[in-house]
Amino acid sequence: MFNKFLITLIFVAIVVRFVGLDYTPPHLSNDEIGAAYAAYSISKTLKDGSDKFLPILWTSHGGQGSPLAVYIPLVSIVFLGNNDFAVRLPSAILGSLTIIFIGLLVLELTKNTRLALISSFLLAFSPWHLSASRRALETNYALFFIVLGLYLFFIGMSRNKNWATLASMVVFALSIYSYYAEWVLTPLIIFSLIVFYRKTILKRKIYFVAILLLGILLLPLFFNFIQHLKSSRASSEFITQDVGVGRRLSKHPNPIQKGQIVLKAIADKYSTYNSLDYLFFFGASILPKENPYQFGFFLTPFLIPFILGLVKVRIFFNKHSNFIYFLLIASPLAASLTLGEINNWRSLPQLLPVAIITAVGLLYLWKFIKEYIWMKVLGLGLLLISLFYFCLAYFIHFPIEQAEGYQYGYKQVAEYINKHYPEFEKIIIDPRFGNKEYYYIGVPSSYIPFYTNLDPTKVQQAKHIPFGIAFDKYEFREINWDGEKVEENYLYVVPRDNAPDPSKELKVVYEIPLPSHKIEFKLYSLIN
Amino acid sequence: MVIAILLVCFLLNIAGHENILIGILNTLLLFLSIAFYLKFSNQKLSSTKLLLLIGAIPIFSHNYNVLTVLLAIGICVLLLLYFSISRFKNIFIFIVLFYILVASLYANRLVELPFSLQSSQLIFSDNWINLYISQMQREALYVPYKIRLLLFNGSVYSYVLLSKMASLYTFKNLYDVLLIANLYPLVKGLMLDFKDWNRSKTLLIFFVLLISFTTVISRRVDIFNTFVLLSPFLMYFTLKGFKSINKIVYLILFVLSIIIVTTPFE
Repeated sequence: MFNKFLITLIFVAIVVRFVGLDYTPPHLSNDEIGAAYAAYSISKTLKDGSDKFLPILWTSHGGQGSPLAVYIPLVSIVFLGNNDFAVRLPSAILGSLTIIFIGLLVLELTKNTRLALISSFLLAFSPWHLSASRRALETNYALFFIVLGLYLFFIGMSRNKNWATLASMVVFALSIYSYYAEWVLTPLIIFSLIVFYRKTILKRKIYFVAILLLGILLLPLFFNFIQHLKSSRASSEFITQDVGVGRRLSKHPNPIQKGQIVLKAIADKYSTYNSLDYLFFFGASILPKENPYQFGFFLTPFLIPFILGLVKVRIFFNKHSNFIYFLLIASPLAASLTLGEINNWRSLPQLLPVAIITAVGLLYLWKFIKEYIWMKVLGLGLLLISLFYFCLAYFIHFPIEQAEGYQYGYKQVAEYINKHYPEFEKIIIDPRFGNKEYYYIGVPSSYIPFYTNLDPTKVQQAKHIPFGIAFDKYEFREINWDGEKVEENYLYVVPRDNAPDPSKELKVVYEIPLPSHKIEFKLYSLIN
Repeated sequence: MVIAILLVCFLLNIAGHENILIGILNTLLLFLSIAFYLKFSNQKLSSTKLLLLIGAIPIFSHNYNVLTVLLAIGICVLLLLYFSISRFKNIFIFIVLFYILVASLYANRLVELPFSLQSSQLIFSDNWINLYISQMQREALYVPYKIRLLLFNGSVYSYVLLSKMASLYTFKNLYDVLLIANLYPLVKGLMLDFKDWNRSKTLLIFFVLLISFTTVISRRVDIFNTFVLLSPFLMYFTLKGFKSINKIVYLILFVLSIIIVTTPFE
């Protein structure tokens, strides 16, 4: 009965991952549109926006994206068209499969059905996993491949299935092709598997073949990486590039001191990624940082089961417990090596060990409080309250409060352009948005061609103009009204505060409001 | 062994800030923390010579705040008394609790000497939190106004307090005050006690939570001062776990700790 109840809840949580994908999050983010446009461009011309033929590492907004970030959504974009649902669907599917495979993995390791279901349940109701599954996040694809890879590896080991061992390495390779953090994490996991299960691995030749296969599969990525070493994320995102760390490094030329500074910076960051408040209170970063209605990777009431689970892992996982502890230690390592503030994308793999350990604690606690009904009621009550607030925060307040951060409005601009395209000779879009005291710079040059289904060859032939780029009818550059020569049949898209001088006689033809009803963009033209 | 540990601690104090008074007080606090462990656990100290390195724990040598050290010494003395007396324990426990509460308030500057409550320093006057409560109320147009007030109100402070309590026990905070090496016996000690739980250990955890709670109601949490107050409890678990550590691992971690501790600042 209890198991059926859990399965129902898991099913509901999986369905929720597919509902309203085009509203929450409120708009495709900067990174999502980068990958989505590259996928669209490759699907039509076999070249990305920068005119590279079937790139392994594709170029977007000045950086380089991982291969599967493009090639996974490419399939759904081809079949479903250029829309938010198509871009995010693969992530929702892989996120849902991760929920299933984490349960299968736990079942394979412990033969405990209830523990497996609880692990799936915890991941299904994890605020950060739900959120990550509703965005086209390559880190979410990578997490799926890691969980699947582990499952296949243990199937191969415990049941002597050679195909599963080989398949696990293929899947691990896919995780490396999915996201940069896995360039560090996946090899660490494979190495730990070899160390922890060396007695089995060293006896069977298939593992040597499997490792060789992994090496071969990674060769294209390796060579591509070497070719683009200077512009690679590995060199640009390493912690030494951090402003604070860089400043300290420049003041201490002694190499030993430099090493100490880097080590301390990594240790400090690692500490933050592992802190309980990050995991259970604010790590999901759904609302602005100062908003107290925040959520962690898991709902707060699971904090105590997690602490308990840390002590009780051995009871359920027996000989595999060291591997689970290793996963807990290793999963935030890659994220700790990178610059900037803490980043929940990079530390998404933490979901796996924390979910498993929390499941252990929860199962243990459930058995312990079996006779104390008031404790069960209290626990369930707190859980329901927490879940209720999460739903409010995520589905209602998050789109209202965070829309601007997602560059909300460019899709709506594209929808307007789609309807009125023939009416304009030229469309000039100012890439700035937000308040004039501090403008952000958006990427309308990716959003507009994607949502208007513009022929990608036109974007590939884009011309550089002063302070921007131009292709087709479009110019993407800052609009300074003083020096702007206003023409008839031109459409000007500007941030709300950048109003033209009345002498220009431009009229607002359309306004794009945010979900909070505040105007984000104004569209001006001389025509009515 | 205890004398050697204390000597290491005192010498590090003198080398660090050349203040004999602080050195004596810090060393006294370490001594009382060890005494608390001996009294509470009814066990002897680990016989390994590595125990000498306990004297290098930053919490007993990097602190310059006389008041906080005195308050922590007071906690140690009261705990030793509590676990020594056999009569009036129920009354004495309230004295201990009250003292801990007041000590935490002073340590986090919620009360300034002699007895001036700094209500503006309470977390409840945090403008950002109050602003966001109002904003959530404004945004929640999906329910009538009265229900909005029920959904989004000051009760969120309890969540904020829990979050802040959780943020106290980060690796960084712990290794800043204990060194990375000593986290190893600390975790071992905690796990040993988890397996052998009893009522008095619940009391110990309650004291820890009380200090943590009193700390986080302040808007400007002084982490180092908080951990000075917690030192007898941290030392109890660390010394408890010391018996079951792998010495080579501990030594490696100690070397790592030295590398981290001697990292140059700006």
